[in-house]
Amino acid sequence: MSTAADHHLEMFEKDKNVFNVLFEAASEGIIVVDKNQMIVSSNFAADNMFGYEKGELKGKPLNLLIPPKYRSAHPAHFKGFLKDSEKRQMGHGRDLYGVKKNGDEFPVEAGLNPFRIGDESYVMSLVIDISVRKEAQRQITELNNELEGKIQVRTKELEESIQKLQEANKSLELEIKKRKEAENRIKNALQKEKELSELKTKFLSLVSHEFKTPLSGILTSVVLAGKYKLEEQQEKREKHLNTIKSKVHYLDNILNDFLSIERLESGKVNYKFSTFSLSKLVNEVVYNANVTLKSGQNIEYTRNLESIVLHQDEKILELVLSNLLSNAIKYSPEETLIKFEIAVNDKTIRFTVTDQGMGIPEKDQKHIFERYFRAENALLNQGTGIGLNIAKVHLENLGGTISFSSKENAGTRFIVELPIVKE
Amino acid sequence: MKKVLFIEDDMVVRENTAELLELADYNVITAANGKSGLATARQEKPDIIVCDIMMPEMDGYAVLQALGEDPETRHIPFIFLSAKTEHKDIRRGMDLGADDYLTKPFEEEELISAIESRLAKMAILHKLREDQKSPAQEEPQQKIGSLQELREEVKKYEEKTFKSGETITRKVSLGTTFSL
Repeated sequence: MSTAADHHLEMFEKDKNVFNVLFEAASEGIIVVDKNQMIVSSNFAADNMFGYEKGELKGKPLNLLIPPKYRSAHPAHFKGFLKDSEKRQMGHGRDLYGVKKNGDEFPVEAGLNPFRIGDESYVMSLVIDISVRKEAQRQITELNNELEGKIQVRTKELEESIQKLQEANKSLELEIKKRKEAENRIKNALQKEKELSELKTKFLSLVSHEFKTPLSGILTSVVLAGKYKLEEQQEKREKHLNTIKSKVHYLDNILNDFLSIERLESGKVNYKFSTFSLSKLVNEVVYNANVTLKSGQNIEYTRNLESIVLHQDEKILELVLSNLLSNAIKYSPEETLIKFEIAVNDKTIRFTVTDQGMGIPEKDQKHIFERYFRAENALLNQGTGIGLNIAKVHLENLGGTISFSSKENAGTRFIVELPIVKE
Repeated sequence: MKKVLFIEDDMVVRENTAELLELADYNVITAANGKSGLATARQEKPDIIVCDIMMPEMDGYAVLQALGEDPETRHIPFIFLSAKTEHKDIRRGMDLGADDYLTKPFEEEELISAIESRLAKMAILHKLREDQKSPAQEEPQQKIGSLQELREEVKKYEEKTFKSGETITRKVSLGTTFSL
């Protein structure tokens, strides 16, 4: 006869077998301990994990499975846990270790499940050997650290590279700046070179033309002086000797004009101020100009200057005034008047030279003070084109001015003004 | 005495050269620029003209050209005396019809020799014309108008007068520094 109890027992037996199968088949280790932490049951996975034979662990203390250094703390935890009686993961946030039969320690993860059978409390813990996981974790961590390290190294290298590049950039910028400066210096030198070359060309073409005529004058005078051998021809000889002297001075002046351009350019001019009589200067300048007058030409100049005394560079002033008078004579035809007027007040002295000559064509007027410039209508006359340029530079250096007004075929007026300088 | 017209704007060169030429027994007239030089040439009909190139108002090239266009003056021998010494300047002067081109500074002997050569040539041509006047117009009178015609006349004379290809220049022992 089968009773309900039998049925239950049968079921229980069946269940018990199923339960056993499940118990043994579980891949997690299952250990059941009683309230005294004695192992009541362990499954195949747990036995295997800890290196024990089947049933070997039954009746052994749980401590056996705990590495020695953790054994002392465990009981307190256990007691506490029983009290609370809640399922949980053990070792929350901590690394747990188990110890095998052969003494090897290995990392575990354990989950706790308290239960009661009748009055007895038991704890079933699921244990997983997380060695592999831990090892993997460790490897990952190690790899991470290695990577970290590599990143740091690389970052450092990168930083160093960046710094080097920045420094290289800086020095490159400096280099560029230096190169630009050098380029500018070269450009300036080239410009100077061009100017020198221009000077040379002008000089050479000047020499060939401007010199040959006065040299002919000298040669013919020399020949003639030699022909007059008689005593009574002394006058003729002297005339020619004077001509030679005058032409030599003339050539010397042209050379000096060129040299003074070079000196003016390089700032080598030293002005020598002295005190002198205005009338003396005017008389000398007019006297020299008179020698070169064309037939019928005449210079009318301001008299009554005897009392006036100037403090200036006499030589330069003479140079400028001589140049203006010589131009007036050269560019005016015969039978014309040249006016040389002088006006003084306590601030300035003004010299005005007026002629009735060919005048300066309007289109050439703006160039008239340029070095070597010759106006179109002047080209058939002898001239270097540097007189006015030199005059202007000197006057400006002395704080003065030069200006003009002119009409072609009517005449020209040049005005020079200088400040009155007290000693 | 032969009359020389000297055109030059530089006073010293003008006066000295005139003096030199006078000492060499020439009758010298001078002009200080191209314009007055041209006028003087037309007026005075000199035997020879010596002329500078770079002068105000009218340069030497223009003077020669004007003289060449005037039938009264185009036969007058013309010598340039200039500071322009480059080959192209000389060719330009010669191409315009100058008889000679001297450069400054010049040697007295050079100038006088050049003048004499030209005057000698003119004398020969003058004689040519004279000779041709007398033998009763067997050939029509030809006015020597241009340099080309002059050349032809001289050649004709040489062929007629000399044997075996002699030339006037060789005959009168003139230098070979110039040729027609």
